[in-house]
Amino acid sequence: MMRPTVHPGSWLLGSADSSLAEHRRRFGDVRRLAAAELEEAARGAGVLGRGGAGFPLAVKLAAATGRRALRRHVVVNLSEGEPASAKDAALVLTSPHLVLDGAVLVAAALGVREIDLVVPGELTWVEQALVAAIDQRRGAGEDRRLRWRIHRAAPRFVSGEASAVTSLVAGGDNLPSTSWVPAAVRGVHGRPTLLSNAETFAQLAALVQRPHRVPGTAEEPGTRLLSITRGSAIEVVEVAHGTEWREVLSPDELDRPILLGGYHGQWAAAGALLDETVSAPAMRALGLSLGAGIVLPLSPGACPLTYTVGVLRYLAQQSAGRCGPCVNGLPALAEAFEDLVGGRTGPEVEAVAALVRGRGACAHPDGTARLVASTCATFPDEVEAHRGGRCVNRPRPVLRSA
Amino acid sequence: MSGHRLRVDWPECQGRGLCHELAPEVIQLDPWGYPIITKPVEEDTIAAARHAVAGCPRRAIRLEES
Repeated sequence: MMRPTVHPGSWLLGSADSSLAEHRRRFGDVRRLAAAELEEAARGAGVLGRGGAGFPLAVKLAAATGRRALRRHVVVNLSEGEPASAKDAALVLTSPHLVLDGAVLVAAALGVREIDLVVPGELTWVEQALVAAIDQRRGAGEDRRLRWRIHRAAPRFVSGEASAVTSLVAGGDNLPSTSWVPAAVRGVHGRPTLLSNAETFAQLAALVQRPHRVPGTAEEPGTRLLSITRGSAIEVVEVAHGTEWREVLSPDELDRPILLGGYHGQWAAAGALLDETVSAPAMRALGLSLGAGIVLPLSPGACPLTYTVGVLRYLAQQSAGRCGPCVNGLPALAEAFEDLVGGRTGPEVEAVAALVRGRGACAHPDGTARLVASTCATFPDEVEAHRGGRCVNRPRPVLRSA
Repeated sequence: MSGHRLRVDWPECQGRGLCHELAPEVIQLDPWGYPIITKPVEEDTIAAARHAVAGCPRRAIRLEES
């Protein structure tokens, strides 16, 4: 991933100055809340995890504190393995202290003295910005009793998956494994672990430390960080919940199919978002999900099926290689879909998708199957045309050069 | 009786296929030899399911209450 273009926002990305002094001016000092108070704040504001799954943070907090334990862990996931996502990097560049405040807030509530930060191993500038922010806090005499530990995630699509992250933090490999119970119950070294995405911590800190002017709607307080792919660049924007998509995307972008939620996401048909708002319930009503906030408008005139072929090939390569159905099934699924798109007779795409769904240690096979199902459901005309050896986006047949 | 379900530890499973031999009522194999759990375990299949769990050479299947 390259450095994203970060647009100023109203809240998390509200200042171009990433210094600790500016952060304290805007958000005040870290508030020390008891676990129950923090849980209540998260529940009251309906904070959902921003790593993609949208799991309620209050439920995670309750699970991590509900059981007696000698030690617990707090893990901030900044690994961002999705190539089209850059929001966590944007946060680190512009508001690192909001992420760190969120972690301190949770650590204090859980009685944890050591905070684990998982960064993308190949992006040295993310780690450098984070280390600089931690140094500023040390210099200002903050968090004296805390230890920060930085871990480098492998540059792989599935490196940010919860079980891969807890394994990395515990000193093991950065690969997914079967979690019989959630990390909040048994995570790092089998201990209760509050692991969440960097944006989740930032949203929580902003809600707790500046509760009077929270953007968004009554049902959905707060904002969303969106990573929008434009050409070869990624732009990160902060959008208050309830904002119209028209204000976020250009009329031309809204008039194209948009892959929402990244490579494990689903397609919004051309024009489908035109009268909609950026909101989890509104997207759910359309059978979509904001996921980790990745927005991929299809290039002008491109064929969504041909584009999806490329994504499926990539996803098949990104298998961690651990689970049989994923190792074998993802290449088979990519091939079956490629046959369909190429107008060749092959195995039924849905039958191959059914062979990977729910059959892995992590959500990689499920996410890949979801993309396939969404592509077939969103573009039935394109699928029919391709079955017949044509492409509706390329009306003239491609002539072989003589 | 509350229902049970079989869960596979996918990274551990190497597709040896013994589970299917021991409990074909609830476990089929996919084209690559990995188990497909076909249905929840009921009273009439729980003995076979337990055999499959015990017989897996990789200890890669568990029986959980659902």
